[in-house]
Parts: sequence; structure tokens; C-alpha cells
Amino acid sequence: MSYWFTIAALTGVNVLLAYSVYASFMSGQVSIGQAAFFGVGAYVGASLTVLAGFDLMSAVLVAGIAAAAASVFVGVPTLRLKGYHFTIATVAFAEAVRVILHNTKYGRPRASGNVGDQWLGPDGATGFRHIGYLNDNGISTGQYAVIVWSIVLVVVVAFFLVERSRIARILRTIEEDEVVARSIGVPVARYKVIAFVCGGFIAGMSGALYAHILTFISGNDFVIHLSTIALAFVVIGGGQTMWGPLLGAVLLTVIPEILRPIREFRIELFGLLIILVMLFRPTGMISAITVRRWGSALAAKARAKRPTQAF
Amino acid sequence: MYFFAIDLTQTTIDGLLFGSTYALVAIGFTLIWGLLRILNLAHGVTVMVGMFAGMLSATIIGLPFYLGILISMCAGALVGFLIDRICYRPLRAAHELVPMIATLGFWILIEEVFIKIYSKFWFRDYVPFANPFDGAGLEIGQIRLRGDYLVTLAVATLLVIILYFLIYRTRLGLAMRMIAEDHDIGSLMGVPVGRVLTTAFLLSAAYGGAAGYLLGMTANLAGPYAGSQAVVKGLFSMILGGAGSIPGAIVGGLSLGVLELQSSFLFSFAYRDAIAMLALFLVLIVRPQGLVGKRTADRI
Repeated sequence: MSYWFTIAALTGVNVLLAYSVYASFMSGQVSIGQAAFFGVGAYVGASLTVLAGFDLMSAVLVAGIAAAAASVFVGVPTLRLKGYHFTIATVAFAEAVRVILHNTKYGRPRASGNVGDQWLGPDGATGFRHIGYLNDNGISTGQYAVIVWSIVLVVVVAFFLVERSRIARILRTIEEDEVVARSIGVPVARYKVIAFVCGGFIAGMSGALYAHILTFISGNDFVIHLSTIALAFVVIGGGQTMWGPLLGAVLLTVIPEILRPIREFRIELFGLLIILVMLFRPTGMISAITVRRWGSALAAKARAKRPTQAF
Repeated sequence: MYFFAIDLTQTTIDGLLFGSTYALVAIGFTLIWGLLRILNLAHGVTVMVGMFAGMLSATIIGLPFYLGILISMCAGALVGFLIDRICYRPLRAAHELVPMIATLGFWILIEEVFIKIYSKFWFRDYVPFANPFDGAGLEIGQIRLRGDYLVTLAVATLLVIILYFLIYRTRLGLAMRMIAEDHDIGSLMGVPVGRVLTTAFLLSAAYGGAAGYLLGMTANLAGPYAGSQAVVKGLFSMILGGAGSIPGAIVGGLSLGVLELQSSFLFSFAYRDAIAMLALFLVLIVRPQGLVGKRTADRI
């Protein structure tokens, strides 16, 4: 059972990662570098609980803030430009962060431990081992899954509210045509940067949560593969509404686990699945039209239940 | 001080020579990006397939070098054809990200299948790749030019000249330049857009295959993960020089080669990639269009 709780927690982490891509995706800015903010969040979060004795929630929050700061650093110079420069810059930044994380070493010696395993904190290429917060505080994987999913719930509700607000309209206008958005007085660059920084914040939180499940992270966890898969969550689930990232991340995390009986070929099937979904549902699994259709079906059902309105 | 200067020159020259393979990988990326605005994430697969086709022809069959390169290019082009037919052709009408994610799927699928097949035949991480130029070299004063690096540079130069000829002297190249400007107008002018793009995929993948051969030969090794490493290097060369521009890919590849070797010579091997990537990121902040790229979109 605890295996499935771990999967549930990892799914929550991936949902957060998908929303971090989606935040700037709404304004038409495609980031292929969320792994950088995820990695920064993971390292900061783990360092805070392991080395500085923070509790989990504040470590996660600080990790989010650190990642948001990193995304300001990337976003401000590049988001003022139109076109693809931003996407390209995120790829480069993510790779720089990966290599730096792969080479950082700080922390203190560990009292107990075998030879060659006596360091607490990130240790260069060996990675950051012994992130034992959950174990030390007696948090079971089930409880942890609940913690992760309550953060996911907060984020989903936030997106649900944003999607129905003026902000989403503005972001979608920017996505459609930046010149039009400017002509009606939208400070385009400011909105794009804010959306991207919110994405960075979510990615940072997600990274910190990830580090505590895995208890062991290294710079090479945050390769370009991860960034593209985070984007795949959104594109496969559907980038037109907020339900797409949720569905995409859940499916793409759970399906490889369900396929475990035929584990030998699960990664191939995962790749095949991505191709097939793109071939048959290029708008993603949930498009805006699907949502509208289901919405009106629900509304019709609700109307049918009220007999007084039937006549 | 004198010896330091010699070493510095030596490192720079090695970097330039070795960077020419990065430039070849980057050309493959930049062709597709320039024409379609998609990152062809499956490009590494063509490099890997080219490397293994080369390994089979050079080590196992023992074919001469020039035939091996041709075989690698053909094998790469075959993969390029598949990428076009599976990931791009059916998705032409969709958003640009859709074919890109499809190439991600293709990359994961093929690399995984390839690793399975590979580990059925060989039980180690790498297989040797015959290098006919091993140990050969050219001495100029106190600078030594490695033979295989020189061959790499020669092949890369030849391929770049062919590419320039194709793009600026043939109708195909004219059609490509048209399409790079605007697909719709191109097709209104009677350019067979689909066919030209298939050719572009073939060309890009053939260059990837050649790069695979050269990478394998200079390293004396062929491994199944080479493709993923090549994706990163090629992508960064392209970005450094300027996405979508062919001179950009060349300048980017050569500078990445120099940057990597210099930073491992001047600082440390461990930080080699970090320094290269940070330099790249700083370049992007100052010149988001890359070193020689043109700014395609206006500033707002």
C-alpha cells in the first residue's frame, strides 16, 4: 500500500510541475526549463529541513520563493522580447542549473555512516543523500501523500479562480496577439513575467516535495528530459483549459506504474503513448470545446432536475 | 608563461577542431527550427543511429572511412524520414508544440528500444569504434594537430560547403528560404511545401548521422546514450550561435568546443559544462538572438 501512496505523492508533485508550465503557457510563453526551478526548489527545500532544521511547510514555501527568485532572473531579461527567445533561454538556463547543482558541495559531516558516506548535504556528483525529514518525524507515506495533495488542491483551486477572472482573459489575449493586448493598454511584459514567476514558485514547491519523497537527489535528476516531460503533461492533457495539465500529469505518471507488470517495455509504451495522443488528439485530451460541452451537459442536467422550470 | 601560451593555443585549436562536430549536430537542429519553429528533440536519435551504423561499418565490416560516413548519413536520413512521417507530417495543421512533443515521444521510444537491442548484443556500456587516424597527427612548431580532428574538420567543412551550395544555388534551397519566411505564401507561390520539408528532415538527419560517425570515431567509442548527449550539445551550439541561422550553428558549435576545452584547461574539468552553460546564458541575456542570429521579432 505504501507503494501506491508514494505513487500518489509523486503524481501530486507532477501535477504541480504541470501547473508550473501551464502558468506561463496561458500567456503563450512556452518554458522548456521548469526542471531548473524544480531543481532549485528541491535543493533549497532539502537543505532547509536537513541542515537548517526547518519544518516541512516552511521549507516548501521558502523553496518556492527561491525558485520564484530564480525565475525573475530568467524572466525579466527574456520575456520583454517577443517570439521564441524566451523558450530558448529557459532551455539554456535549465542546463546551467543542472550542471551547477551537479557540482555544488556544502553541508556538514555526518556523525554516523559508512566510509565514503559521511556527508550531510549536497556532495557534488554523488548527490544529496539522507533527506530523512519524513522518517525522522514519523510521517508515513500516506500522510505525506495527503500533504502533497492538499497543496495540489490549493493550487488547483487557485487556477480555477484565476481561469474565471479578468487575469485569465488578459493572459489569453496576450497569447492570441501581443500587439492587440498592448493596444488595449495591457502591460504585456509585466503580466508575462508575473505568470512565469508564479510558475517558478509552483515548480519550486513541487521540487521540495519531490526531494522529500525520494530522500536522495542529484543534479542529474533535473535534465532536459524532465523539462520536456513537464511540458508534455500540459500539451497531452490539453493546454486550453486548466483541466488539461491535471489530467495529463495524472495519466502520464500513473500509466507507467500500472504498466509495471510488463515493466520491461513500459518506457517504450510511454513514448508510444505520447506519439499516439499527439496523432489522434492534437489539441490534447481535454480541449476547450470538451470542457464547454461537458459544462453545458451538466447545466442541462441541473435544469432537468428543477421541475418548476420545465414549464 | 611561454609554455602557458603554447598550451592555450593548443587548447583553442583542439576546441575549434572538435567543435566542428557540434556544429554539424547544430546544423541539423537549426534547419528544422528555421523552417518549422520546432525543436526536433528526436535529432539525437539520428546521431545515435549514425554512430552505430558507422561502428558496424568501420569496426565490424571494416569498410573505409569515406564509405562509412556515407552509410551513416543514409542511416540517419532514414530516421529523419521516419520523424517526418510519424511526428511531423500528420500534425502539420496543429500547434507547433504538438509535433515537438511527438518528437519527444519518438526519442523516448526509439532510444529505449535501441538500448534493449543493444544490450542483447553487447554487455557493456560502450563498444569500440575503429579509428583509422588514431595516433596520426600534424606538428606545426610546438602545436600538434590530431589527425582524426583534422579529418573531422575537413568533413564538416565539406558538408557545410555542400549545404551552402544547396541553399543558395539550387531551386530546393530557394524553396527552403521561401518556406522559412512564410509557409502559406510559399505554398501560394507553388512551392511543394510538404516535399521540401521532407527533404529538410532528410538533410538534417543525414548531417546528424555524419556527426554521429565523427563523434564515435574521435572518441573511439560508440554508446547508446550518445544521442542524448548530442541533443544537449547540439541544442546549445544552436542557441549560442542563434537559433535558425546556419552561420549561427557553425559559430555556436566552434565556440562551444573552445569554451568547453578552455574552461576545463583554465578552471577545472568538473565545472566544464557549468562554465560553458553560464557563458551561454549570459550571452542570451545580452544578445537573446544568439551571437550571429538576426533578431526576427521586434521588441515590445
